[in-house]
Amino acid sequence: MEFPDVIAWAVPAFALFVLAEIVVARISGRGRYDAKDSAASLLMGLGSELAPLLGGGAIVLAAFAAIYEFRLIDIPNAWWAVLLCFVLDDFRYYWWHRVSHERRWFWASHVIHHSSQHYNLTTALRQTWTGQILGQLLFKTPLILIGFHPAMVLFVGAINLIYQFWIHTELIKRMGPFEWIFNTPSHHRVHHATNPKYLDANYAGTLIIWDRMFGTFVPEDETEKPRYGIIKNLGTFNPLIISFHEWIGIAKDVMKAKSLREVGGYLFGPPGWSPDGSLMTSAMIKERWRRVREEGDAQAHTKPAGRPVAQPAE
Amino acid sequence: MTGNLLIDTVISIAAIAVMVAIARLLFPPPAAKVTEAAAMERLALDEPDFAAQAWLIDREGRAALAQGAAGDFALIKKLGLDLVTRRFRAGAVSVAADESALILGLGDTTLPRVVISTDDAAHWALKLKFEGDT
Repeated sequence: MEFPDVIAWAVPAFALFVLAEIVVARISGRGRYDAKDSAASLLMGLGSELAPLLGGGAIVLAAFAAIYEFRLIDIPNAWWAVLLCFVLDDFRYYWWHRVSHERRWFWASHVIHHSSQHYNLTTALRQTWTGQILGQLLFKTPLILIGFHPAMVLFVGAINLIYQFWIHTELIKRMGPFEWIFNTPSHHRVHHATNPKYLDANYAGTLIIWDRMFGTFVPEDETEKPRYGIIKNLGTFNPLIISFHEWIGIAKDVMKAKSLREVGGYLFGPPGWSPDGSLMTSAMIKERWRRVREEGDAQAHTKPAGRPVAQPAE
Repeated sequence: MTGNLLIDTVISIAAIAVMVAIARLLFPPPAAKVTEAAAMERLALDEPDFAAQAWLIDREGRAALAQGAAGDFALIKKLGLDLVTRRFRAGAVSVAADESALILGLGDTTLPRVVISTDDAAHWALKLKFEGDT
């Protein structure tokens, strides 16, 4: 069985879909584009295709070929194996994605994808230039050790990425029962949102069932529109700075660390970790949000009864 | 794609240029400026426990600076169609002022320097240097 380079096939279609989305978003008023932001996202996408050619891609391929020699069983290149590999790889994707949000070392690569304040098809293409080697080796090795051929593992990973392209849109609202099992634009809007109630949710690639199983599923609340980006939004559209800003931040923090514990915290703690708690992790942001909301509720309950906000209709 | 790296890269860059040009044509950048209302609205989302007491708005509407009740400050800066916020304590940023502008050095990789056009630069420079020390 041959495993074609489906990403190469998909790229022209990506461009056509982006153009279509721009036009439909303009006509319908249901989407936002900022040319500079889109340029940054698209250049990040181009860079992410070129970056592995600097050597990372070859290292990963060589490592996978070597690891495959130690496989536990021989899994044939049959259609059922591809399907099984896809589901297992999607499970792998969930955990890689979750770790990429919960540990700063991995977040330094993944933050790029979240660094736009817009949510459209160009955001899907805003991909990292770094993190190819460790992320792939750590999380895909188990599949290869089981006995799936590296070409098959890379193929299903590419299919998964292509699936995730179309869910980066505001044009599609809700999708009914399809949303029970599959990741959809609505689920993924929540994932890209910085509203505290949406933080750390919906890590799925293709199947949303993993979030439902591991307690990270949050549905989109129609009364709370997602605000996209990151907690500390970037002040630039420069692709080089977008690509390396978090790595620079890690280096600066490690340089000022006073102990090995602090070095570990800066490297592998949650994003926003600091020794004295002066910066904010997503857990702290959620806690602040709950506190502010409860204080607001308490004030509302202790206010003297006044004129109702809205009078019942007579 | 052709399989030739150079040709594919050139085609990709051309396609990016077309997509960006059409995005700019159909979504032209508005002349919207940073106003106190817009800055307050954004701060309420990004820093819900920040209580602004005094405001400095850039003459051209590129940025705004708010002084908080707890001796901290919040900067709101325009970036494309959106706003970017930063919160810091007095003394945590480098400050320079001349007759027409306040210049903040944030030490931030993605937002290293912000210039706020104002006639009140010297007054705000003093606040930024010493407010947190009291």
